[in-house]
Amino acid sequence: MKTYSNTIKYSLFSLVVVLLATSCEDPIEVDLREDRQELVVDAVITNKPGPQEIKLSRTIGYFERRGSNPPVSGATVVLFDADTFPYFFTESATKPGTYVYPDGADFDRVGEQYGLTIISGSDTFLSISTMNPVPDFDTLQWTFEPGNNFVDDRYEVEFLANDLLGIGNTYLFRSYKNDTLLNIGESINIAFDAAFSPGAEYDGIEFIVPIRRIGMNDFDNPFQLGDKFEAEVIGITNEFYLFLNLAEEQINNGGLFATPPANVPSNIVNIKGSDGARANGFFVIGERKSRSAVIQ
Amino acid sequence: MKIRLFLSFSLIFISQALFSQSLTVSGTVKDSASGEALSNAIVTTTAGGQFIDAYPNEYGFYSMTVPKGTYKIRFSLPGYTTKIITQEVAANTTLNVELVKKIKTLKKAVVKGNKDGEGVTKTEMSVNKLSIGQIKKIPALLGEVDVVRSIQLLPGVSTVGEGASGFNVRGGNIDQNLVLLDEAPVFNSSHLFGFFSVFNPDAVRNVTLVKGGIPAAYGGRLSSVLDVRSKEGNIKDFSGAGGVGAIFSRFMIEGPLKKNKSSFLLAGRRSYIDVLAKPFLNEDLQDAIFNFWDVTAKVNYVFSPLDRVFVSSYFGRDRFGFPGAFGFDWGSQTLTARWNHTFNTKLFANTTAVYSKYDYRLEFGSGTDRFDWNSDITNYSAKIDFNWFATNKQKIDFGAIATYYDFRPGEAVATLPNGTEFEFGLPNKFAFESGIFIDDEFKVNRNITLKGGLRLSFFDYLGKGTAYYYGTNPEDNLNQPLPFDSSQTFESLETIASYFNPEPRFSAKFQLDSTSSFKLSYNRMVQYIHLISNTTASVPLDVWTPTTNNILPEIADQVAIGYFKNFGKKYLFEFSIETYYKWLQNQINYVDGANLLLNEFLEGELLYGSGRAYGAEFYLKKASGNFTGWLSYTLARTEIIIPGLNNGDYFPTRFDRPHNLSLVASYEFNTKWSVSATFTYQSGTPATFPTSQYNFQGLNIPHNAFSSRNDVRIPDYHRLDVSATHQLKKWKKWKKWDHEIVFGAYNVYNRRNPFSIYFQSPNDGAITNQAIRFSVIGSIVPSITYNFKF
Repeated sequence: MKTYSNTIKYSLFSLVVVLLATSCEDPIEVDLREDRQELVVDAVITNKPGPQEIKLSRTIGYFERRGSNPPVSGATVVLFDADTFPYFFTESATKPGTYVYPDGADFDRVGEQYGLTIISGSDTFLSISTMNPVPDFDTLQWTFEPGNNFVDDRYEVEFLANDLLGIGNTYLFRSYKNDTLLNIGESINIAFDAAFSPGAEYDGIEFIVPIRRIGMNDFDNPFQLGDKFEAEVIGITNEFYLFLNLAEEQINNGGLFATPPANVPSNIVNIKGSDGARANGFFVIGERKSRSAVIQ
Repeated sequence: MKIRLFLSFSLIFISQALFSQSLTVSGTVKDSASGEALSNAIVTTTAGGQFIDAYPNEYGFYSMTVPKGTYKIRFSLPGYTTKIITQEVAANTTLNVELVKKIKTLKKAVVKGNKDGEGVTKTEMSVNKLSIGQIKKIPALLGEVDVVRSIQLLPGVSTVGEGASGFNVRGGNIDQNLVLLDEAPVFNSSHLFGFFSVFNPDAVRNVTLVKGGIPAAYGGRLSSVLDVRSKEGNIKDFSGAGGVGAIFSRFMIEGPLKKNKSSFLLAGRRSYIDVLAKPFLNEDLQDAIFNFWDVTAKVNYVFSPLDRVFVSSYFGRDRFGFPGAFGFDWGSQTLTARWNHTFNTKLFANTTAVYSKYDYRLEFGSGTDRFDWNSDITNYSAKIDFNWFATNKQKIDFGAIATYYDFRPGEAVATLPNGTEFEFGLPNKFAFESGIFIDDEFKVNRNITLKGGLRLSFFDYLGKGTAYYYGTNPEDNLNQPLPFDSSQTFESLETIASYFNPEPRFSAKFQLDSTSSFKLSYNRMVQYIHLISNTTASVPLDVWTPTTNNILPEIADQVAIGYFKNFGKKYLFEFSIETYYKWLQNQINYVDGANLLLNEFLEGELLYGSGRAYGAEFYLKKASGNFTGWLSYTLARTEIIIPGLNNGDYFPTRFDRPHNLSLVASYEFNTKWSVSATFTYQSGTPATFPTSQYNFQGLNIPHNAFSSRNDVRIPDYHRLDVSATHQLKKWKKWKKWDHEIVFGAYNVYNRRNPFSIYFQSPNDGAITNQAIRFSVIGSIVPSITYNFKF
């Protein structure tokens, strides 16, 4: 629903702007309060075979160069399973701040809790996530769509799959074109049961069109004949679903119908309590499945 | 509920028993040309050395009590020739008076103020009245005069910015204003996202804004009452008015259906921005629909000298969209039936039945791949008001009101490409609100008048429906949805939650001398219906919700004190200063990321807190002469405290504008040319800015290291508008045809007033984030309008 209402608001907003022809948007300089440099944890772990990464960095001032967040080196990063068996992530020699575990296939206890411990300087951070399951992709399909005023000729890809039974399953879907992740940093394709948000009865049914189709295509970079399409799904916690929802809202917030800016809540806790430094970002571990096909 | 209904309506019968023995002079005050009621007139006389004054009600009815004798009774109203009638009173006397409008001349002699103008003598305070004549003098956006944009120039009134619906009074949210059109509540008063209001100026008679000391007859909103009265319709002769402007055209006609018995008024507007904009749009947007229309209609019938019935209606719609891609339209419909009955020379009653509905509709796609969405709020209301002019010292207003609400929060149908329809949405919600009220105005002596009032309000949240019950969140983590606990279903008309609130009202006037007075007031207001909106500007998509088992009624207590003075040569200047303080309870806010649309668990995503608003308002007005206008300045604060937000500290609301200044001036050079100008200045609205950023999974997420809310301000807002009106030569063939041409310029010095500043990480390869200033009107807007009257 959120996506629909955002679309509506954006469309209305554009209309007003264009038709009144009096409005304008221009970049200006503003003074912001100074940053405090807090720890950022980027830990989305799956059971995909091969190396799994956790990135540690620091926040930077809002107007500093994007992506220039300084890496946090020298931390101890350990994942524990429900039997407190440790999996050590070691810092990459070539990419400072990136901590690597060699094989995600070792994380095979779907439905159980995992804990993450990060020791950095004098602070110790803890976080817990349940490894949630995902359904299989039944099929991948695509249709040719002729272009119009807004988009070019393209193949629209789609997967068919059903939400797992039980209310409150949350998933993150990703789409790869020729092994490159699409839509990165723009829109996030997440599902609550087979639809967008809680409160509607979508349990155990086929994922709705906006998720199985619209969210898998990037209209600026559409699929064409011969392209490889890979659909991926990760089982995420409800908390991470909320985190991504809020993150998307904050990234796209603006204009006439903006909501008050808010911080995206983190599940990384400093065990020192209120006098410890705050951390941002998220830790989630989830089952992952994928399926691919070549468009022909 | 039955008991309440009984209580409410038993009042009607009690009233029958009210009689009085002394002699009364009563009647109506009307305009001589059109027969319109002149509710702002003042009726005065002197009996036995004692000064007596009476003020007609909204229907022009006045009443005063005198001993047997002969009196000189004076009827006055600025803009009209004062009439003094010598009347012998040997029995109860009916004296209906018609006042003659002054004709525009340049003779200075007719310019005279009132030493004891009503601002000083009336008990009411925090009230601003604007006649449509005054509103028409104000330079208008695109040359179209507008009621709501005009009241934004009054003290204590502000707006979040151009393009925002509604208006904010003394720091209140837009849903805290009771907007009445001929006694029917209007739930969305905006056309075109707030650029214009739904009130057609050609059909409006006068506008009253009550910000404090609110009479007990009004309730259900915290901040103000905007009472818009449409014209009754000329009962003597046919006349009309209209205009052609850059954005829309208007036409109004009124006249007698049966002379001196019955009259009608019909007014309509239609915008044609989309038609005019077409040549300037590129191909993609050529088919865009972007317009609005509205119709205001009214008829009235005089059954007997004691009975008169009015039926009035408004309906209008805004439409937006691209055919086949998406469509969006919204609008209000109101229907009011009123019956005025004069029981005797002292007791006047008005019975009103109201139907009012606001709805919107949205659709995406076309044919079999479609999504439709409807939402509305409907109410049915019945009200009876009595004005009992008991003695010259005492006037009692009392009555009762009952309203039934039907809320449709959202109903959607998705049609899939394979033709299957998929319905979802939320069930309707129902509520019953009622109130009984009494106001007693008592003149202790010539200098002191006291007015005490009480409103008892009742609210029932009714079935059929499901009530949700929630657990609580830990103290240190309140900013998240409440955990769902249980739910219970209720049958049709079964009470789910019930509230009762006594709402005391009090005001007092101390006349210091004949030209100045001191007033104070207190009122408690309770609001049972709430507009759920979390965006910078309210959107037509915002949904009204009743008070429920979770959402508590909003409560405001306000005290205000004021000093009023008329001064200057011939008392042409009116001055007032008022200060107020408000305590607010159960103010609604939202958890971060709250989903406000089609969310069954919405009530679990709301946060509640309290607030305070205080300020001082200065107002200097010159109402008559060649040079007229006013200067208004407000110094104010509005803050709320919501556990879970802003680290649990007070923060300013979005409509907190410490400084708010308006200057309105018009000058008539001669009978042909007049000019007007307005200047407004408002402090920038508070905003929340990020301090930092971080990278997560390729997303660039903005962050505020202090978790603060509204701790910075966007730049100040200021603007100058001017207009010049040229009366065109009369046509020889049709002398009755009056016409003028209005040249206007809005935002004369081309300022880009920011509506908001938002932050973005551009995707166009830029390496740093940007702050974007968004101005709804970023340039000078010239206009030319042709108006006529006949």
